[in-house]
Amino acid sequence: MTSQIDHCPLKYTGEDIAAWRAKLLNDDTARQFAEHLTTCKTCQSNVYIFESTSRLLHRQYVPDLHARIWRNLRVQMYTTPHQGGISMATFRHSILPGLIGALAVIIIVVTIGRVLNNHISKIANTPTAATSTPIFTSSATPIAPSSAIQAWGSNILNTYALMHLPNGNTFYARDSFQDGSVLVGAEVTPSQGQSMEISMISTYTISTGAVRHLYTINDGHSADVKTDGRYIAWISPEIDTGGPDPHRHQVVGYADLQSGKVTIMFNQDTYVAEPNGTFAVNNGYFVWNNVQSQAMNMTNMATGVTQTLPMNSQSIPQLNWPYLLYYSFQDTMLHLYNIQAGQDIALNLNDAQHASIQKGTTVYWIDKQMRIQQLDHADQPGAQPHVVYTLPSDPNEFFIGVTDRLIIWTDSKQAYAWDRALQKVVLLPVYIETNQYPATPQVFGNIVVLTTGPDAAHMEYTIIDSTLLPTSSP
Amino acid sequence: MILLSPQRLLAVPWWRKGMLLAIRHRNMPEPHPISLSNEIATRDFEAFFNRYEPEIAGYLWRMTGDEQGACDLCQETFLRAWQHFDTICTYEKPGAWLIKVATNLALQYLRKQATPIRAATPLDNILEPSSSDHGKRVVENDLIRETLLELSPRARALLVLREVHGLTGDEIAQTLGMPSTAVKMALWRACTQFREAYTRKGGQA
Repeated sequence: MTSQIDHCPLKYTGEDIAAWRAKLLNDDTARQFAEHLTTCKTCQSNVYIFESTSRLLHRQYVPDLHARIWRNLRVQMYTTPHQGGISMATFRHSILPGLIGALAVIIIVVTIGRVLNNHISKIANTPTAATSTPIFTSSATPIAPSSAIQAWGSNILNTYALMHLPNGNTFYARDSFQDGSVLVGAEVTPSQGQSMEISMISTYTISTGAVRHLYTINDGHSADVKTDGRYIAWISPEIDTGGPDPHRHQVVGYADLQSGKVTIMFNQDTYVAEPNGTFAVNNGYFVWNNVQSQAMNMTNMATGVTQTLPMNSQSIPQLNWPYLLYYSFQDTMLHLYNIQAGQDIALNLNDAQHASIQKGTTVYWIDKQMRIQQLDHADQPGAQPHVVYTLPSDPNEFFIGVTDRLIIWTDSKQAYAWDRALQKVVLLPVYIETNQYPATPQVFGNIVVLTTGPDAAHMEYTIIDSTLLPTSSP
Repeated sequence: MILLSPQRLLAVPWWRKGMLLAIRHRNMPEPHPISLSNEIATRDFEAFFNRYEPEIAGYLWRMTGDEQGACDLCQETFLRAWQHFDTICTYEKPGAWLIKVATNLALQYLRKQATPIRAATPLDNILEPSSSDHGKRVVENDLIRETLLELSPRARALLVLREVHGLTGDEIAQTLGMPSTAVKMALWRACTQFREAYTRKGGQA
């Protein structure tokens, strides 16, 4: 290939054009070339070659890898020392004395300030706030418009209309992988007859729209499905055939997402488990309440071995291995059960409702006074709860979601979150009133999945990694 | 580096000792990797990551043509940045440092891969267009990617650094470790090679 431009009167070459564009020419030469370019059609057309190539490359689709990279990087950062860090030993022996000195100065200043403040308050006869509980303002602040959430990029934070899959089926999401990348749920074939449908247990990969079928339940309504990212488990609702309970058909099973192996534990006219979320999946275990034996079953999905746990609960259990949070059927109290240690603790919180567990032994709940309470080290005797936030309105009856940063509740119209970073109530991103978000949000680790409500024109999902939300309001 | 003798240290007021010793300790090998300042540094680093990741990941995606490769290399680039974060923060153009590290890693990676041209993974499911507009765009994207991958890794780096990331000839020379005089010729060659291959495949600019 020649770099000579044949018809340029000044014999500028393609390399000269490359040099000009890459700022490799000195000022005088660059100026001369720029002047020449205004009249030379040949050089113009060759500059166009570069510029159109540039436009083409800029148009190229680049996948949004941000969240994926950051998640992996964060894990590595914790185990990799970085330059300039101050060690704990340094802190103890060196900085601590300095800090103590500084603290002493601050205490003196604050004390003087308080004395003065009290004095002024008394003079002005103005009561000061009696509690540090945050006060709700009538309109919650949207945390950010969707365009401001750079972290997720367009292919994750967007809403997804999943009502109509290519084959005309409907996908009902029931759970999601911890990283929010894959929804699991039931894909339902539209009913031709009365109430009989075919329900397929499927996964839906958000970035590609790929649907993977795992199991088909004939004559089964939309099954309830949960996952830990490696396994998914499901309990189909019983099909009411008009007969007594023992004759209602039910399917309980699980699948290994790596091998694709499906294990069916029940597929018969036997009513063994309540659907609607009375089971939990975490760390390769499938915990579900067996209504026949009146006990909680725990299935190790790797080995297929099922053992019985010594409790009976018809409420939604939460499993954060090895801790299982459940409402006891016997004493109706909230319990925390350490599966590994076999230790069961009644939390003795009679007013607890809408409970949730986060990170081992930290438990959150909404009490009857509509306060969100937090109990740390719930497995230790004498642990005392404290109020995190007082709700402004009656919450949705069934839900409180907790991530590291957000405590989420819903009323009948939308989801609110107490944002611990911003110290205020926020609406979740991509709240679109006309789309009637949400029905009940789902929380998986730090991932929040919002689903359009039942009155929405079509079903949409919005997936939010709560760790990546902005730390300041727009 | 500030190093105080024990005698001088005794003369320092007690509440300042901590600060001076902290400075001293910062310059000594750390006996324990546990770092109190990690949390603050992590926040700063996250902002740094948010600022530069799209550029670096995009560059590595164009260089490797596959998501996993781009992810791994980008992660490695930023992990190295994390290890030297305090130094990199003082650079006038930390992005240039990242680009250089990313380039070295990418060239190394591509040498090791020794993958035959055109053997890169297709855009899997996205290649099944559900609508014609989307499909057309996907085809174009795939064509660009395929064409880029036909160039030698060095030519690819040159073209992407110049035309996508807007690096000057001198910056490119520095990044790729080549003389500035060679850059203009290599750039022109890479550009024309790309154009020819792209139009040969039926692509339209």
